[in-house]
Amino acid sequence: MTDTRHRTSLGSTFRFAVRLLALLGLAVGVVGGGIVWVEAPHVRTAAFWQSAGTLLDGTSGTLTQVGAILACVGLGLILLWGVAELVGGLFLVAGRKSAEGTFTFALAVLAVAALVVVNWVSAEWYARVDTTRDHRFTLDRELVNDLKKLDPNTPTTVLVLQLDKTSAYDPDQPDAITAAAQQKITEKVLDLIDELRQHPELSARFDVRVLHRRDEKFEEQLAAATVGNTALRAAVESAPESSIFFASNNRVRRMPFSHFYLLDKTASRGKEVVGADANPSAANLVLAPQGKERFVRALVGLERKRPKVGLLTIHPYLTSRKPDDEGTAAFSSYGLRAALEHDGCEVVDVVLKKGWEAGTGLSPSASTFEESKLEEVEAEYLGASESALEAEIELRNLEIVRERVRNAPIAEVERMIRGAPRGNMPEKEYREKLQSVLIEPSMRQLRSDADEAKKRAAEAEPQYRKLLGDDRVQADRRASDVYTKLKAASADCDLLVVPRFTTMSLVNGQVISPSLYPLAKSQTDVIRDFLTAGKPVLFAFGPATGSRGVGTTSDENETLLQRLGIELGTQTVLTGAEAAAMKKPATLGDRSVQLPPLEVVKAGNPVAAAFDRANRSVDGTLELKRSGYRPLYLAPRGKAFPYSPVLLETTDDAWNEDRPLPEPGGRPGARAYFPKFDTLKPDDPKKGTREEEKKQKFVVGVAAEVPVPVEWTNPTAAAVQAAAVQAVSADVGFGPGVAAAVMTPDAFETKPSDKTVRVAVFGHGGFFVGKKLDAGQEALLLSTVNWQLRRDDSLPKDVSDADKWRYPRAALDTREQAYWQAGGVLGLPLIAALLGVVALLFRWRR
Amino acid sequence: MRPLLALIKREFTGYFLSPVGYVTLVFFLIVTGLLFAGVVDGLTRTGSQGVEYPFAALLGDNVFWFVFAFIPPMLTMRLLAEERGTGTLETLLTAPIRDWQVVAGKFIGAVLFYLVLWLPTLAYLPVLLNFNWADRTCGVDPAHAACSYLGVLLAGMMFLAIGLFVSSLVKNQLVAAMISLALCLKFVVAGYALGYLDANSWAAKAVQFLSVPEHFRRDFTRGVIDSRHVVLYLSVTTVCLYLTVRSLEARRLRA
Repeated sequence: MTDTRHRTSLGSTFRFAVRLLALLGLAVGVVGGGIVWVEAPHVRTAAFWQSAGTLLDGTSGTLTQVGAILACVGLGLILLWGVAELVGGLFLVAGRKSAEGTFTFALAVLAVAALVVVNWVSAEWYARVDTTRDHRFTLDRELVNDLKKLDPNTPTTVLVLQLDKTSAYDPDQPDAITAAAQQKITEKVLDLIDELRQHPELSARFDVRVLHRRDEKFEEQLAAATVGNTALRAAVESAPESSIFFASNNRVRRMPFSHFYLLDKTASRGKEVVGADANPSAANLVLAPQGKERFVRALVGLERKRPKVGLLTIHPYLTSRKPDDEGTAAFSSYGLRAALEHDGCEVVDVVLKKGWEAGTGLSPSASTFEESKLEEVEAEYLGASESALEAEIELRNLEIVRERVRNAPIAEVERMIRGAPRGNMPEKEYREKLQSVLIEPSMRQLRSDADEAKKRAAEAEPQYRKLLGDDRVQADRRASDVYTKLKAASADCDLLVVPRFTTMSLVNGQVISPSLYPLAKSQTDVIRDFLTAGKPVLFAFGPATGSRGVGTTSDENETLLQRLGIELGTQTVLTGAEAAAMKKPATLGDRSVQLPPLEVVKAGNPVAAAFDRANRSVDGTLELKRSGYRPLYLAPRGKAFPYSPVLLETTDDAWNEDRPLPEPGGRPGARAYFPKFDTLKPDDPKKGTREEEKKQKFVVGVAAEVPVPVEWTNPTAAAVQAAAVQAVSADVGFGPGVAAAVMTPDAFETKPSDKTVRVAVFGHGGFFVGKKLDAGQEALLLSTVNWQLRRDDSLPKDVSDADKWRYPRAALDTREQAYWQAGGVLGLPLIAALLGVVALLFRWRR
Repeated sequence: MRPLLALIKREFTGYFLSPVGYVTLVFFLIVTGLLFAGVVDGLTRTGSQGVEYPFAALLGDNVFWFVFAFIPPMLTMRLLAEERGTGTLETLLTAPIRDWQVVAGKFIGAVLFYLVLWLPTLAYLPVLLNFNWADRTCGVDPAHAACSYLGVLLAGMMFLAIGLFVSSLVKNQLVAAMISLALCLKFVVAGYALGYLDANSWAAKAVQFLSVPEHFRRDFTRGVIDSRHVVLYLSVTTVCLYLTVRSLEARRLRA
């Protein structure tokens, strides 16, 4: 009799076979997967699916191919088992004994199919409801429309580079707050990308990479992330701070972390709770969100064009080109170029003076750097060539003399060489002496000079030929009209920077003569035209009293600025620290001094506000220190500025000095002069004037948006004003100056000019000078330039304290925290356990 | 309706009369309590570290879901498998009650006990939401909590429905628990593969679609409700309950 409990049906045999195969498949799959794992390390990366095909076609090696085949076979067998079990389960669900069972089976299959279809539909057409009170996960309609412009077929590479500097002003050594901010901002980037990926209306694809400079595999990861994109690699390598890079269609855009979230390190340290003292319990990571708009704009490449900044200097050494040597680095504006280029600007140099090499006096010019370089190299090459030729000629002459000394009658030789009389010396000995003492050394020297000059000419020749062959340089050179040339050079500039670097260190007497700087009228006319067009200009004018140079130290620029309401003082601001240091003995010709930092006036000035926000990101460590400022004064205005134009002030330990440099005594034993603060006598003519020495805060930085004077845009108004001034001064007896001051051209204009221009003036020419700008200089430069260029996207955004991001904190003290934690881990489970025991005891009682 | 209510009451109280319910409750509260303690630590820290989304730290963690995946099978393993094993299912099926009412009663009973599991965690809310008793305001957006609990309910329903369905297929409770666990884990461990997938690939999208921890980490715990997750949970729940009803019907046909 057969035991029915162990009856073997076809179905059970099939199930046994399938399960056996699945087990076999599992073993084979594990072995195959293991081989692939070891042989093809790239499967361990996110790029696995992109290169999975290469595993099977043998490209990755035979062993890998075998492993891949085994893994696929194993997977196939497991899938087969899964399908068989699913079908079996459905049969089990439906039953097999009747027609109704078949119908139920069909319904079950339909239910599973409906499940798949419903979820497929929901995956394609879905909605996301943002229930947060600030709707932080909702993108503006405008941004969504912008993002729709991204090509869904071309993935955009988003590379997050961590350099431990969340802003360019961060110190090189990161602290815990900077590191935490960097990590959080990276998370925010990834979150936002994820949000974009999940958005139902967007189909853009993103390839996201996160690289950290300190990672051991940084180079390897960078190489992998930038395959075929050298521009991205170059951008990453030159990034000065932690940045987000967007690369697509061979275009690379960089966005500093600080343009997405700006660290507020001052608030992060909890300093604002109890004034200046840090309150560690209030410390939290505080970031000022700069808005998703900036991110999206950078992502889709909707940035405005690269602004062009024209730097007008008087000497090639002062331009923004990389200095050739350390000697000239102190005068270079290369740091300015680097900072502006990193911020997305373009910088062009224009040299306004020529004749430096010839030494025949300076003349106005408007040369490009290349043109100016050509002048320099040409002078070097031609000068060296000429020197070499002169030495050769002299050498020839000496050879003739030598020949004659050797062979001419002795009387003729004596006549020729009168400076070395023969005396009683024998003729032969005299001739030899002349050769060895007089002629041969001179010839050797000349040969050396000629060789040296030839060498210099040979060194200069390639660059000279290159510049000579540059058509653009030649065309610039042919243009002789300074006004036209400068006008053309500045035409496509969006901002002009006009520095006068006159004082480097008053204490050490390091100054550049202010008399070198004044520009010709044709040059200042171009600057005026530039301002008239509403284009901004940044003036950085150092004092005009730094040296005893002869000639004029001012130009029409002073008049332009005066017309805009900003007057430049004629003195130099000196601090007590500098005056004291001047009297100390110098060490190796150098006196050190601790200069007091300038104060940034926080009275609503937009540049000051931007600088302050940048300063907060580094916990207020940005400092601006220079030696010898020029005081600035604001002319009284009929209409007040909408905000204070004052940007920078000195400390109140400063005074205005006519003679700011120490001077040695004229005669031996005479006392040297050291500048010091003097109170004027009551009858001094300077008493009560601006020139009276006063110890106070001096304004040395101004940034304001001012109306363009009407006579610059409307010559008729200027003519009417001139006539009126003349008439009034004749009738009333005022001097023309008084009349002109009272009757400005605006008074004669019925429709005042509505055009405004953003002007920034600094009382020091060295604010932006140096091979590398320090953090304070860079923050001031970028705050000023971006404000002047109206690049609000590049300025730190004003974020109210309530809108700043910070970690949520529970207001619990240590005791309360311990109770809550113990309650969570032990309290609630204990209560549940007690209830359980009581319930069981209750049951047992029954 | 009365039989249904009676069945719900029977199933619900059944959890409190067996050690399994309490063991599950204690186990669950220990796990959530440990996670809560960690979150409290983050919420009371000073300095530059902290927890941005407290509910994400609590419910968005892979480890939590890996442990959590054991709970629905523990709750559902006995529902039908035990009845089949002890032979009381036949009695139940011959009672004047429809198959769907049997399934609904057991399911609702399990869901109610599941809610009881989560009930004690409401005690965490004052801390997690940084509730200010003086002005009755929350430092943390309450939407995070509301969405998290909604997600927990929906995901729990899905896991319980799967467990109930499996329980209807087998006699042995342990086998039912193991199979349910295997099925539930698919929704949990799927997300582990994300690190190895190209985020733009269909595979990554499929994994994200299925991975419950991902849904919580990214959406529910941050106050976002994504229709895909809701549809997935509800559709799986519905189909599993439907298949359970069909399974009971088939059993009746076989009998």
